[in-house]
Parts: sequence; structure tokens; C-alpha cells
Amino acid sequence: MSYDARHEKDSAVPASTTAATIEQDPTLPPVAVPDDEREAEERHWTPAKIAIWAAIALLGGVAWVMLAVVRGETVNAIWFVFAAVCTYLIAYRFYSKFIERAITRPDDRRATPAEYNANGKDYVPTDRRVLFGHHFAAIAGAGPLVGPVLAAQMGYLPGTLWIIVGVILAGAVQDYLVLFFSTRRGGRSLGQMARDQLGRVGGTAAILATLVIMVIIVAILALVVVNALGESPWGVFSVAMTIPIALFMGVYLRFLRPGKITEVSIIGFVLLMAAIIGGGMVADTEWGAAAFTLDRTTIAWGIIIYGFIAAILPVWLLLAPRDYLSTFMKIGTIFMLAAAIIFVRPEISVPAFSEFAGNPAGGPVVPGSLFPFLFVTIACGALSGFHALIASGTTPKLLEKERQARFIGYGGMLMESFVAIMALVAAISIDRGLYFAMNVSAANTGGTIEGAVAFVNSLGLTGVNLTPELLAETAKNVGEESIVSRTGGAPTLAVGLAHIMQSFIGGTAMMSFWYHFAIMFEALFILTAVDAGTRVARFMLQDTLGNVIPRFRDASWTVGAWICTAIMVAAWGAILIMGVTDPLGGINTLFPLFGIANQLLAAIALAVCLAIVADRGYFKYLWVVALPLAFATVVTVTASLYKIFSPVPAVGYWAQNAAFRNALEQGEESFGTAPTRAAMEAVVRNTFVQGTLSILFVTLTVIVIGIAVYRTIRAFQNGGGINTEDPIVPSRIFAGSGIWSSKAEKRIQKEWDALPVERRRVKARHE
Amino acid sequence: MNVLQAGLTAAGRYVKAVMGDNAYEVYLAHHAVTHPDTPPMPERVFWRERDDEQDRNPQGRCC
Repeated sequence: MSYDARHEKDSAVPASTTAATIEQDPTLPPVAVPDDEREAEERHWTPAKIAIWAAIALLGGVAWVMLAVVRGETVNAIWFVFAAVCTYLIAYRFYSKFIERAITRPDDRRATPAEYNANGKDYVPTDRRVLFGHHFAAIAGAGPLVGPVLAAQMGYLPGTLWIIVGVILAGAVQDYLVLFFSTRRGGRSLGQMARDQLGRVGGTAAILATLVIMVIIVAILALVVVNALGESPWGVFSVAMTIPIALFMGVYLRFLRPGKITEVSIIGFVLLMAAIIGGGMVADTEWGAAAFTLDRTTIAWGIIIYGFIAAILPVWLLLAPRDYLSTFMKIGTIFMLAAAIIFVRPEISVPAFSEFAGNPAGGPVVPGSLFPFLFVTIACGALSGFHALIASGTTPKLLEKERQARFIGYGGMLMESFVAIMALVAAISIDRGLYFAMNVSAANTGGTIEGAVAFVNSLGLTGVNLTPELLAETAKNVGEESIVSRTGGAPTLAVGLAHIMQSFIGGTAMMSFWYHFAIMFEALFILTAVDAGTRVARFMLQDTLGNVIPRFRDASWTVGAWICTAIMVAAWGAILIMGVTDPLGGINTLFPLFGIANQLLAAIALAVCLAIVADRGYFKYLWVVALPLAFATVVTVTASLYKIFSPVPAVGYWAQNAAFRNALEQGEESFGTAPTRAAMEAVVRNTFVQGTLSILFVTLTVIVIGIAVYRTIRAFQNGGGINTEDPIVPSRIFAGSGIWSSKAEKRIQKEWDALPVERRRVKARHE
Repeated sequence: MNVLQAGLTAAGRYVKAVMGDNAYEVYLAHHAVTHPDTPPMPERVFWRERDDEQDRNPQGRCC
């Protein structure tokens, strides 16, 4: 039946009216906590419970006052931790609970796809705490480590507010709703849900947008790595060593000891540490410095060639082992960073709002006014559309119980937001002059210490007096030739982390190790995302091309896979090379595009959620989705329009394009930061591509959101809409829902534990 | 000391579960319930299949 036929037929039937018809097997203990019992427990406020929540609220309140109101000469980093954690706890307990009652209304008597499709492989009911780790490892990467660093040019408060408020009202809401709605739909992907909910046009626009966005995200992540490794023999050596290490791990797992994933990850980790230490020694030798000091264009080509090879090699050889290593490092480093910040508690001297916060042209790190550009510079950590691709498709197939979606989806995103806050703290704990010297593009500093000192001191920042000695000494401490114009966020975070870690473990002598440790894990996260992104994008392309030439759908057709891989790698590779060779500095012109792309994807995901909530008929609570959707739409569309129409060349791609074209026509030999006619032509080319991409993104998104809003209005007129959920299957398993089990959950679990083993997990349906 | 040891064991088990070491055990448990009459895949074959499945059906990793 076509979408529209279904829509007409069912349009008057409000969704999910069938809860009462779920019958549970009477021979089994309860598969869910009875509603009244759960309600009573949740609404029962003991004095101890009240005291704890009052204390959390009080501590959070004090922390916010310290950050936002008192704003002394310096502010201690611990207040960031308290403000964030207390706000997260309150939002999780009260706001996400409200969303659960109002919108998702989970029913644990319904089996999840993990249960009714269980096949022991990709559909597996997984312990909720383990799944939390899985999900977090899949959503969090280098994104939350980079955006907040770049946004720190505005001062600490705008970024902190957006990360914390954004996550509780937008990012975590998106993750939770997409996870829940996908679970109710057999674990279908966002693209499929868009097609079911919005029809063919909306669905196709959503899939096309996802593909383009994926390409731009992979390209800009790769650019971050290139910038971190350029002219750094130590970094190049140790990151290059991850390839043989991963190959070794792959062979070990395939042939020597299959399944010993943690064991091989520990071995890989030890080798990785050896590679970091060895990198320092190699970089100190003459041949090492000669062999591994590469310019950024060479590294970019290296990553492109590597990306293609990695995407066509079998997964077990390179991608899977590196993914294990990356997961292992992720869990470890995040705990380490949190512990270090809590123990060291650095004093922050960055102002709450910097001189650039009120400047319509923005700052020298990322151009553009605070609104909307702060909100696209920090995407991951506050609102990341990319998560919708993990929360649909992957995680739902492992979710044991519907009620766990809140802990995994909402809770997992809060955790990522906390990573972003820690990255921000690390970035602002370093000297402000140093921060700008590292993050202003070489077009302004000339890449020299003298140039950087002159430029940064000319900015007229209060309390900033950058000295050449500080730049030279910091570079020496972290074991680099120079740290001037190391743009992209990763090196700044690495210096910040080294700065904090050295007062925790090892002192100044260890700083170079910590710096390269941080560069290493960021590169590891990013290269994993690049590989996985290329593969997923290739599959989407194969699927799309398969509509025209069916043979492309055949996954075992190697030539087809290679062609599609080559197309995807060429697409992101072209943008990467463009960013690396850009005479205007690269990352500062491209990074806004990354944030815009990521949040346009979020807007698409939220639009699909909006249509689903409307079709279910919950109009009273539609604002929960409409609010973040409206905000994301306003931010991204405004940012895109600025990028397309702004007459300020630093902000508008086409204004820049026109200015350089004009200069070329006038026969000028150099213009702005472009020293030659060839460079000027490059700017014209680059701004053309960037401007075109901006137009493409915003058009696709407006189509998707427009259709979603139209469907929502139609649903409102009809009092509800189509039900795209899969049919109800009664559950035959039990599990708790939060991080800790409630009293009722413990009681029911005891009944299940008393059953004979073979009766505990009875499958509702055969695979 | 016992509490510490128990804590470390639990943490180790948790890390292993997150990394996916227990995938074969999970499969065996599933198999025992759904196909009690057929022999399960041997361990090596299972891990191979699991890797190759990722080739056919790649999973995204976020930024």
C-alpha cells in the first residue's frame, strides 16, 4: 500500500490506543512493573529523597551564581563541573521523566525489536548499563572535543550555557525520541522513518541531505587531524603507528585468539603508549625529523589514500580493531580527564564574555556574530544530528526494554555534553594569548612567533600580553617545533590537557607526552569516524544508485563497492584538500559548515519526531519537540543565510567570492590574505563550493521541515494521523529501566531469578 | 579487601561486556533456547561471521 493510501485510510485513527490489548503469558512472572506501583514509588517523596534533591539544586545554583553572576578575576574550574552535573541530574530526573510521561509513554509489556527479532548477533537484548557504554562509545568522538575549544574565543559563559541548556532541551531530547521511535519501528533508520512519516519527497530529501552532510562532516574531521599533524614529526610518527598496531590486532583476533577483544585492546593500548614515547625519540633524530616532517597537503593526500584503502579492506583487518582501540581509549581518557579536572581544579582567567561576544564580525578564530554562529560552532555536546543515525538503526536493536530508552538516549547524550564541558575547561585553562596564537590562521600570524605575538597583542584583549618566550617555551614543553597557528581545536585541547595533566601526574617533563597522548586519541577517534563514515556513506550511495542500476544493491559486487567508495572518498577528499590549501585559513571558513550540516541533520531528525508526535495525537506536548526544532531551524537557516547573503566577506561565502573575482578582473596580483593570482583563484573556487553546499543544505532541510510541519497541521485537523509503529508483540522478558533498580524492579527480578534457566528467556518469535 | 576485589572484578566484567568479549556466550545462550536440536556455530566460525557481517552492514561512528 502506498504511503498516501495508508495515510487516508488510517488518518482518523489515533495511534497507540491498543495498550490494553497486550496480554502477558500468565505462567511467567510480571514482564513490567505494574503502572500503579511504579507511579506510587516515583511520586513517593521521603525526607531523604527531598534532602538529596534540594542539595543537588542548591549546589548547582551556587555553581551557576559563581559562573554567571560573581565572575571574579578568576573562576575555579570545579564550578563548571558542579554546574553541569547538578543541572544534568535535575534535567534527567524531572524533564526527561516528563517527556516519558507526556510523549514516549513506554510500555514494558511490549517486546522490543531486540527481543522479538533476537538472533543472537545484531538483535540482542543487552544489559542496559552495557548498552549505555556501547551507545556512548558510538555517539561520542572528537566532535565535543573540538567545537567548544573554538567557541572559547567568545568567553566561557556563552559556550557553557549553550552546552548545558542546549543538551537538556534539544540534544538529549532528540537522541531520546529518535531512539524510542526507532525502537517502536523495528529499529528502522532515520531515512526509512522519514520516508514512512513524510512520504517520498520528504524521505528522499532527508536521505540525500544525510549523505551530503556525512561527506562534509568526514571532510572537516579529517581536516582537524591534518592541522594537528602538519609539521609535527612526533605526531605523524605516532599516529601512523596506529595502522600497523591495528593490523597486528586484527590478525591476532582473526587467527590467534578470536574473541579476546579486551585482551587485544590492552595489548594495543600498550603498543600505542610505546608509539607515543617512541615518536618523541624518532622526532629527535635527524632522519626521523626529515622523514616525518610533512606539510599539510601531503598529510591530506595520505589520509585520502588511507581512507580509500581502509574502506575496501575487510573490516576485521583494520577498522574493527581500531574501533576497539578507540572505544577502549575513549572510556579511559574521559575518566582520566574528569579525575584530573576534579583533582587539579585549575583557575580560569578567561572572561565570561570576551571582546568578540558582542562583535558582529565575530572573532579571529571563527568568524560571525555570537548568534547564530556560537550555536553552530558547538554542535556535538549540545545538539548533534549525527546521533540520530546511531539512535536509529544501531542501538534500538540492542535495547531490552522500552523504558530503558530514557537512560540510554537522554542519559548518554548528557554524558557527551559533560565531555564537551571538560574540553571547554581544558581549553580555557591555558593562557588567553596562547589560545589566540594557536587558533588564529597562518594567514594572519604568518606562522611565525613574531607574527603571532604582533597579531595577538594588536587585538587589544584586556589582560593579554603575549610574549615570544611563552610561545617558544610552550612549544618546547610539548615537544613541537612551533605551536603558532595550530588551528582546528585539537592542538589547543592537547595543550590544555597537557597543562592540567602535568600538575596531576609527571610535571613539566611529562607535558610533551600528555600533549601527544591527546593528539593521538583525537586522531584515533577521528580516523575511526572517517573510516566508518566512508563505509556508511558508500552503502547509502550503493542503495541510492541501486534504484537506477539494481546491481549496485548487491553488496558482494566488488566493482560496485569500489566505485561507490571512490566516489565518496573523492567527495570528502576534495573538500579536505580545499580546506588544507585554502589561502583564507581553511578550518575557520569550513568549521561553520560542519556545525550547520550537523544541526541541519538534527532539524531533520526533530522534524520526523514532530510528525510522529503529531500523528500520535499528543498536541498538548508538541512544544517539547517544536521548541528545539524551531531553535535549530532558526539557527541553521539564519547561519546558512548569513553564509549565503552576508555582505561581509569574512562571513558570506558569495561576498568573499565576489570580492576576489572582482580583484582578479581588476588584474590585481594579490588580495587580502591571498598572495598570488593562483591563490586568489583558489579562493574563488573554494567559496563557490562552500556557497553551493550552503544553498544545497538549507534547501533540502527546508523541504523536510516544511513537509513535517504540513503533516503536523494535517494531523492536528484530523486529531491524529497514521500509526507507523510495528504491531505489538507481548514481551516475555523482564529488566529494570534506570541505572539502579527500583524496589519493585528488585522484587520482580527475584521472581525471575527463581525460574529455571531455560524458561527465563523464551523468545516470542523465531528468527 | 574483598570489597575492592569484587569491585575490580565487576569493573573488569563490565569493560569486557562493553567491548563485546561476551558475544559468543550471548550467541550460545540464544542458540540453546531457539535451536536446542542443532549444534551451535563453533567459536572461531562465530567470530569470523561477526566480523564479516560488519562488512556487509557497516555501523556508523559519530564525530
